[in-house]
Amino acid sequence: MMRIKEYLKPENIDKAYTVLKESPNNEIIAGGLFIRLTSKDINTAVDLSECGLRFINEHKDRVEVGAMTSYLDIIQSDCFETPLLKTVKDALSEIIGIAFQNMATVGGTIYPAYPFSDLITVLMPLNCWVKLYKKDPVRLSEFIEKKQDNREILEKIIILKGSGKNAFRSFRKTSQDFSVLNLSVAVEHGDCKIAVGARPSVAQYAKSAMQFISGGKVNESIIEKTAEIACQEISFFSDIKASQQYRKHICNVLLKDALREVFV
Amino acid sequence: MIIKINLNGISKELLISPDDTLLDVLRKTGCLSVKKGCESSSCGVCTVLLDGTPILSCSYLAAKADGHSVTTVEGIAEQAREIGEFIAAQGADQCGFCLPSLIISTYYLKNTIGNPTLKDIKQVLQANLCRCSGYESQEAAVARYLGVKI
Amino acid sequence: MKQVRLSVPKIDSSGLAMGKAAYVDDLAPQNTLIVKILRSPYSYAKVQKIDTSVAENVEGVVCVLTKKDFPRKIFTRAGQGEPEPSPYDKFALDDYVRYIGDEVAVVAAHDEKIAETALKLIKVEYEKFESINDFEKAYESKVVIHPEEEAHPTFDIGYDAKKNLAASYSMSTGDVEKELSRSHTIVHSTYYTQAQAHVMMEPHACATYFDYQGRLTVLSTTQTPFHVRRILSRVLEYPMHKIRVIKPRIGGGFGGKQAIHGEVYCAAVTIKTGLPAKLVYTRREVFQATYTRHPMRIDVTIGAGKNGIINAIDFKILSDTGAYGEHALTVLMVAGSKVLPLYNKASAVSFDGKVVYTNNTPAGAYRGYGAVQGNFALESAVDELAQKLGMDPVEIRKINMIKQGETSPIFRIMGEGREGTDTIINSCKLEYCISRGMELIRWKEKYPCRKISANKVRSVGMAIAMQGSAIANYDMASAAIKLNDDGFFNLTVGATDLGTGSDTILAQIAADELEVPTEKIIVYSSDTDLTPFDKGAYASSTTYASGNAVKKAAEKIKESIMEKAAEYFKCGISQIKYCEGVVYGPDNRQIPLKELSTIIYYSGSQEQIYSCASYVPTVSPPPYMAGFVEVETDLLTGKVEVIEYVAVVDCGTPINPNLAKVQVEGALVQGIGMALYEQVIKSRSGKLLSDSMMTYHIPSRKDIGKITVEFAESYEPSGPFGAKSVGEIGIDTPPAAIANAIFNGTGKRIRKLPITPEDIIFFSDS
Repeated sequence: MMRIKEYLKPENIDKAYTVLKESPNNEIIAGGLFIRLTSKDINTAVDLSECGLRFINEHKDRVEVGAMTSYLDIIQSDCFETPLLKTVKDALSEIIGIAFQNMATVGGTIYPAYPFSDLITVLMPLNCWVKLYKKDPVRLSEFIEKKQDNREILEKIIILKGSGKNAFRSFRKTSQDFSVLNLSVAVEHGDCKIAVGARPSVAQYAKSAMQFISGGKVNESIIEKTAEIACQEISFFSDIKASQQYRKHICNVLLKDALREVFV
Repeated sequence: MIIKINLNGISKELLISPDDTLLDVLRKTGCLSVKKGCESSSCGVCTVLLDGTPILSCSYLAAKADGHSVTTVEGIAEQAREIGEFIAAQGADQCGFCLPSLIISTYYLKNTIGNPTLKDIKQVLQANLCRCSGYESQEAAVARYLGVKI
Repeated sequence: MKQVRLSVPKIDSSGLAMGKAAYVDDLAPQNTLIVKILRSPYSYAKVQKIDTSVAENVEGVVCVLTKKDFPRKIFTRAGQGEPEPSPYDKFALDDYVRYIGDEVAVVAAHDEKIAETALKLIKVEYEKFESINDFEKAYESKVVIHPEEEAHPTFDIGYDAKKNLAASYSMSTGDVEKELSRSHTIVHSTYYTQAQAHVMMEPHACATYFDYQGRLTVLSTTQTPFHVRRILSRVLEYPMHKIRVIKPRIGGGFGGKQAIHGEVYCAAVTIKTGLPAKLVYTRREVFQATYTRHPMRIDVTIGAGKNGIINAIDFKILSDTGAYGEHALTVLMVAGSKVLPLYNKASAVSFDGKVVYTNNTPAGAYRGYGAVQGNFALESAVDELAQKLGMDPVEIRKINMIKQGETSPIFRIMGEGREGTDTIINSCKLEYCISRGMELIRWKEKYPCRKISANKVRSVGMAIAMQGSAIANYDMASAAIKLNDDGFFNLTVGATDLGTGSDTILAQIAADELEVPTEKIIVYSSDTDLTPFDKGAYASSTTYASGNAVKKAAEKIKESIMEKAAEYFKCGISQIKYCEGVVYGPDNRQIPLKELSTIIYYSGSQEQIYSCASYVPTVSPPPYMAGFVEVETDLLTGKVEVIEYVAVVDCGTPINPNLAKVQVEGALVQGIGMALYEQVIKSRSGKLLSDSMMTYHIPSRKDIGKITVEFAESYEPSGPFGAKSVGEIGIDTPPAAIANAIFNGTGKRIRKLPITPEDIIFFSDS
């Protein structure tokens, strides 16, 4: 059970950041979905709800999504109707249910780099950047590779608009479960990105597979070989939900299906 | 700390601890329709509306609700009674533990989707778990209430 | 004005929908102490030292109880009639802890936070032992889980704690060896069923307090209030006449609340402190420290002639009862007694079962109660037999299954913990159940399978099942009815409504007999002070046994009313007619009950009109069903989806068709969960890994397809208005029906549960 001594809702991100830095036992609270599952002792909980971070702003070349934007906000947003972004919306619509989607936030998922996250996986193959407060934006893939220390605030993500196609696939054992495996592919001008997540670890690029399929002609046999390469290079593990063997198998099945969709 | 919420249409000032869940605070305030089932945001029996949209109160800090409006079954008594009558007529209720949360979600569904289909019913209610009824009768009752042909 | 066969809305429907205070946590007194339990982190250990001094000194902690604070009384937690067929192997608190979750100490504090803080401050030194977590290694292991002298069975249940045997049983009729040697075809297969968790929506809860008479009142989510009262009295050495147990509305049970759980600790706190106390289990505790279904290994051998007639069936069962032996023998026996009689043409049947102790979370009662495990094994094996013989699986059942008017020696030999009762089947519509089910699912079009795309195949499978209606010559139900002025009745029953709607259907039975609308029968149930005795809600006994008690009580009070009317009309009772709430006398005189009752209480020959009746069943007439499923298997991912499940159920007269239907629908979905989705997962050392609803998934409404339930109305002469029970039968068929459908679609015969996508993809025939 989480214990909290003090609870603050600062009115801007700067104030939030100052309080966060005051003590290593101060923590950021985003959606708070998993509070009951931790047993931390928190000095001051800093709730970002009033920092103006709940927004979806569309610009000519990009869409910016504030850290406190919920999955439901994205699902209901007009800005996520273009082909690439619709895939993101569709992926989020499959997750558990309305109340959950209403509480899960972009920042709350991406900052801790939850390994089962569908959002991270579907964003990885896109041109997506993470902006931490007072820091320069970094690519999403770089961000999740680095282990975060809970001492920064995620302000927003930036998704550069693009042409091309993408697809997302996930496998769940029941509708209320998290993904046993998820993956996403995107191709633009022949350049293909492939990300595999919930392995059970967080999304990872299948770099050799991406190299193999990018730039050339794509047919069924190329797709099969690409999937084979990806399944060799990605590391899978066993856990309570599935065995390593099965994750590898499913990755192969789903990846071929996703590649067929984008290379049609 | 003191929070101010609009609970079922009435402005309330509540004395809470910063780590109290909204579920615990609502039950202490007398909203017994809100139930504790799983404490892991997995079962749905704690569902309430926050500013009109469903949340899982077992995983929502009461402090977060400060300045917002909260709706439980106690606040939509007429509609709850009506939905309850459809459930009862269908014989779709058993232990009743998941019933208030099902009513909250049905109420939300009615207010947000114009011409719902059976698919919409399944989609919006999917996270309202029930162990007693097998879902079939519940959906028939909700469909009848919403005027959806199945 | 028939009230039976009417879909009357549940009497508590609107109250529960509106969130009225109805459940234990709602009704517990304000400001109770909060009770929390310290649980063992080890599978098998001895508490060498326990230091509660720091915990006791935390401000707001009122008491900390350890083993020394409880009388040294061994008991069984099982909610069963005394003498219980479960071994006495549990102390309230003991030096030995036998599974991860076993109780070590009890804290009572002014609020939950303080109680949890105190729990962490209790210092315990454990001596760890090697544990047994694999039930196939438990029998005669050198690790003995119950070495204590005090542990004992109350009568011979095949118990031998030195061999880790909580119970054992065997029987045989005819000569199985001989019949097998003569058989044209033999099927010999081994099946495994898993530990399944009940996941009722309301966690176990109890509240205890002294009322104004100084009596210990216990509010509990129990299915067996009278057993809880008796056990509390015994274990706490507290006079039974000073204990009152009340079951208010509860949020589901399914057998998981058919025992005593936290009541012992909560009551002990109240007795010690004089203060009200409340113990609400967390969901983690419900998973970890209540019950699961008994996992089993079942070896089935069937011998049949060339014509498909089954001559011999042999069952060998190994069952895992976990750290304590509640329901060990009875579940084992039901795995045979409520399955084997289905194929009564077999002249030779043998059964041999062992229930072993392990250091796992204890197994206990769970809807189906062994029948669903036995059904999975037998109904899979019968399909395997059909396949070997090249016969249609429906045809092979039709020529072998039991029919109305027939019997089986198993009824006489195998009861539930004891010998059984000879039974002629007076109501059985299995043939209709099968033919109607086939029609509804369009079996002939779909059997065995159709490929619907490159990687997806749809296929059908089926199974038949039986259960029981109460336990014959063993348990008792009673009902009392009181007439009020204004012509309405109070019906008090000990029977336990777990949310099933039994209060409602019992009111309907009384109303039908008394020829008044159901709303004139006010029901109050499950209060050991105010309601007559009932063994509780288990063994599908409420409709049949409690229903019969209600009908008898209603008949009796009707007699009394007519006697009073005769007095009033000053005539002989033979001149009195009672019809639809009106009493008719000689010379066209009549008086409505409403008026007569007012006269009886205020001005006539005044007397309280009251009746009480009890019922002990002499038979346990089985409900039957045929279950048909269509599944779609994705051959690439291994995912199996249930497209449609059709169930045709013979439960005699459905007293309330809607409520009977929803009982079957709910049970079917639990069965589908058992077949495809649910699994209690432990580490090798016995640590529960699936200890939340995030890691243990029950089906949601998107995980099941269309469910169609119909009734085949037979008429059971011994049941109230022809009714049999319906509480458990629905769960029995899905595991076998689904396994059979998967085989029909993929050629893969999977003999374990749950059947997961990995089982399909990595299937190997060995």
